[in-house]
Amino acid sequence: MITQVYGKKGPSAFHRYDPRAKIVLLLAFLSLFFLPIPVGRLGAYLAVVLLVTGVFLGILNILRPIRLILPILILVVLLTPPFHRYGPVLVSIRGFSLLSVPGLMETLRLIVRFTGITVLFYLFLGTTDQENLILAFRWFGLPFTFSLILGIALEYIPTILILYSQVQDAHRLRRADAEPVSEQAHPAGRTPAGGGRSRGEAKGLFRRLAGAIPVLTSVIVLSVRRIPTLAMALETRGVGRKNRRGSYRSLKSGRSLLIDGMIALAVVAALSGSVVLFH
Amino acid sequence: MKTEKGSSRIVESPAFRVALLAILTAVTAVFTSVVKIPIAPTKGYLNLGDVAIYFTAFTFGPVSALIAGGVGTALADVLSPYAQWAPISLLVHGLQGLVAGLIAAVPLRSKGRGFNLFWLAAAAAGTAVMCAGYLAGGTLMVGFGPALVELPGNLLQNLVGVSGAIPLTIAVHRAYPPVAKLRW
Repeated sequence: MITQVYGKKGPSAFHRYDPRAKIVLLLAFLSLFFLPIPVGRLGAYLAVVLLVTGVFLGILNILRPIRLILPILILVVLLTPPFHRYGPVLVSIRGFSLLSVPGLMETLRLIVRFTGITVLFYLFLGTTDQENLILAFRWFGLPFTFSLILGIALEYIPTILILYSQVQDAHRLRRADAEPVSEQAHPAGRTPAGGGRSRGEAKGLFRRLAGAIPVLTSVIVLSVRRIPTLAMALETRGVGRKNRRGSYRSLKSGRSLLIDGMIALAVVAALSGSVVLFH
Repeated sequence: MKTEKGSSRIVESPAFRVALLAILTAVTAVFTSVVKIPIAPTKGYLNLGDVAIYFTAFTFGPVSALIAGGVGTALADVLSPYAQWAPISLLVHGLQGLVAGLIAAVPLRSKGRGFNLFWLAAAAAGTAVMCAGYLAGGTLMVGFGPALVELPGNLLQNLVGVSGAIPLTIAVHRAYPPVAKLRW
C-alpha cells in the first residue's frame, strides 16, 4: 500500500530547514558512505545521522526504518563473508574459512552504508513536504516540464488508486452476479490484484495474473481517457507557450536561505575536513 | 506509423505530452506499489510495475517508457518505506523502458495492435537491462552476495511483466482503439 511518508509542516527546526540545503546535505552524506574510509569512522558518521534523526523525528523513528531493512541486513551478514574469504581467518571449520577479517570489515561497511542511506532518505523525506521538494528540484535546474509531470503524477496517484479499487469491486460484483447460487454460498477468496476466483481457488501465479488482466485493462483505459481533459486544462494554463512563466509558490530567499545555506556548507566543510584530516 | 493529421497534431502538443507522461507515470507508480500478486511458497509478492513498463513501451513508445518507467517506479519507492532504492529504480527502470520501447518500435506496424516477435526481443533486452542494473546497484548498496540472491526474483518479476504486458497491450488496443494514435 502506498503510504504518504512526506513530512508535513512539523514543529522541528529541521522541518523548516530549507529543502535546497537539505538536498546538499543529503548528497554530501550519501557520498560519504561510499568513500573508502575506515569502518569505525563510517560508524561515527552513521551515529551522527541517527542522532539528528532521533532529535528531529523522535527516537522511535530511528528504529522504524532499521526494522524495515532488517531482512536485508541479515542477508548481508550471511552472504558477504563467503565472498571475502581471503586474509586472516577469524572463524573456520575444518580448514574452511567461514569468516575472515576483511570479510568482517566488508560486512560491517555494507551494514553501516545501507543503514546510513536508508535513515538519510527517511530523515530527508520525513521532514520535507512534496511541494517544497519539487520547488527545490526546480531551483537546482529540473526543467519546468519535468517538474510539472512529477507534480501532476503525484496528484494523480490517489485518483488512480481509487479508480483501481472501484474497478476491482465492479469486476468482483460482475463475477458474483455470474456465479450460480451454490457457489455464492461459499464465496471464493480474493487476490490483491483483483483476479477473483470464480470456481474454486485460482491456482498458479500466471492464472492469477490472467485474472488481473481485465481489471488492469479497465484501469488503463479509464486513465488514458483522462489525458485529453488534462491536456486541455494544461493548455489553458499556458503549458507549451513560450512567454515568461509566473509562479504560484516559491521557496524562501534572502536572509533565511543564506543562513540555511551557510549551515549546509559548514557541515559539508566539516565532513570534508574530517575525511581529509584523518586519512 | 500512419495517423490522421488531426491525431498526430494532438500528440505533438506539449500539453498533451505532459498529460500523457504524467498519467502513465502515475499508473506505473500504482502498478508498482499497490497491484501485487502473492507468491504462495515464499509468502512474498510480485508487483506489476514491469507490466506497466512493458505495456508503455509497446503502446506509447520508448520516450514514454523511459520517463514513465523511471519516474513511476522511483515515485513508488519514495512513497514506500524503501526510498533508498529510488535513484537506482529511476535509472534502471528508465533504461529498461527505453531499450524495450526502441526494440518494440522497430517493425512500426501501422495499427500497433498485433503481437509480433519484436515484443519478445524487447522484453528480453529490457529484462537484461533491469537485472544487470539491479545487480550492479545492489552490489553498491548491499554487496554482491545479497544482490545476487535478488536475481531470480528479478527474473521472475520480468517474466510476469512480459506475460502480463502482452495480453494487456492487446486487450487495451481492442477496448480502446484510439490509444494506438497516442504513440510518439
